Amino acid sequence: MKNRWIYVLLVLAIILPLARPLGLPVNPTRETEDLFRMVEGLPAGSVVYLAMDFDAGAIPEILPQAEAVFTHALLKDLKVILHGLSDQGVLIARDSLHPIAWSLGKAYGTDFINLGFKPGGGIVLRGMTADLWKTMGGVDIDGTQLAKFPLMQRLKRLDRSTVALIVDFNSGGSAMAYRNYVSEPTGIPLALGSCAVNFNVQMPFYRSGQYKAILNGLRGAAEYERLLGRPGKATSAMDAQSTSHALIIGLIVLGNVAYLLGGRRTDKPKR
Amino acid sequence: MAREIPATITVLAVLVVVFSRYFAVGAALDLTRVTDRWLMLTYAASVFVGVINLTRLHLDRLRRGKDTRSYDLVLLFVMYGYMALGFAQTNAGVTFRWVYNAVLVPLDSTMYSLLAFYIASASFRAFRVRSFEAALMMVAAALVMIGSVPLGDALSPAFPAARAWLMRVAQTAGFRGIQIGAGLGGLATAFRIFLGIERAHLRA
Repeated sequence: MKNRWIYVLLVLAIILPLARPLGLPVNPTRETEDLFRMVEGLPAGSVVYLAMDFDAGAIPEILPQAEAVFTHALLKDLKVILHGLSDQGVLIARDSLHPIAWSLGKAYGTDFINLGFKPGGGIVLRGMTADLWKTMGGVDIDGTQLAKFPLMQRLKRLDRSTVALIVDFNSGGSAMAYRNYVSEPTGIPLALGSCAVNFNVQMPFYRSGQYKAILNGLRGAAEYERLLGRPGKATSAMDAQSTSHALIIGLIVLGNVAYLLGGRRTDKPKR
Repeated sequence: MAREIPATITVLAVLVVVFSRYFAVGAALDLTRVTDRWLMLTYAASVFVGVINLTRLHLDRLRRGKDTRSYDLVLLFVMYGYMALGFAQTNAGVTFRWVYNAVLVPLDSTMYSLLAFYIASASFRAFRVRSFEAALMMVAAALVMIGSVPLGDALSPAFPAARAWLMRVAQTAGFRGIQIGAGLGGLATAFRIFLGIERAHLRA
């Protein structure tokens, strides 16, 4: 089979369900329910720290997760800190999450704040557990003095008494840095929003209790949207993921049938 | 001296961290704050080293008149142009944000989504039942794929249950073994570097 036919089939498997949704139900898994329950159980006014540690390539999977959790936190009247060990994540948050907050009538600096990006990985996090203001250079993402924001008056450093929950939306290795340098030393509960491809890497730490919850790629976002009762981008994209997975499984079966019938000869790609 | 100085810095950095982490006096002195600051400075400096290296490499290729000249020019123009725009407008600037959202975001997403087409093609050609182990891997992959999407939930509750067991038990057990092995390997390498047995990073 020529590659171009496989590509055409995949494009159709993605586009058709987006145009005409199948409406398949998304049943929440334990890993997602754990995060929903944690956010739901926090008293109003608690501070939730959302780490935007992903780049543009992970937007389709991770951003819907961040939007759902951010929306949930603001609806619960929690205070949200946005920060990133990735230079791209905080810029994506400014363009995508800030408008959500404004649409809910929340004020920047009082209900949420974006601290921006600092290079240095775990070292930055270690610094934030000692002196958050100094580590961030005393300014937010736009260079405005932190002293001007009411929310920051109660947040001088990352510790259990100031931050109730950290959710690290990551497409790489930042989860380990949050685990080693923040969650373990301070006791702040840590949950993850992970790419589906990294989910298996994070699972052992969820099972050991070091991560309290994990959102698994686009599906995790769709599950969270369902729990929140606000279907969004992730829910509408899950049908396309269903059909594309089914197509790939069908291709595996087809390839093996051809392999067995053809005397176990391998098929060379034709372009 | 080119080898002795980096080796001495390595040993001193290890001693500072070990002293601060494992001894009460060291923890009280909080010496890791100094090494942390140096590490952050090193990170920042490495960006400049990267920019200088890239510039030298592509200028050299331009001077030699290689057939990749157009790519070299695009890279240098984009790197310095976007840098200049950032200095002029900061990252809050309208044009800076437009370039980021209209160019980098779609390019990055496109690169990532191309993987789906490679996987689809590879699934047809490479996933063959050549042995019992290959068959086991294929069945596990198919169960995880179908159990991860709503279609699996709709077909049978057995699919998401099988996927959950594979992810929570089978792969977790295997991955823990790999991680413990990698951790011990990292510890052994750290000891070798500290004791001067491993000197490959010094080109010795």
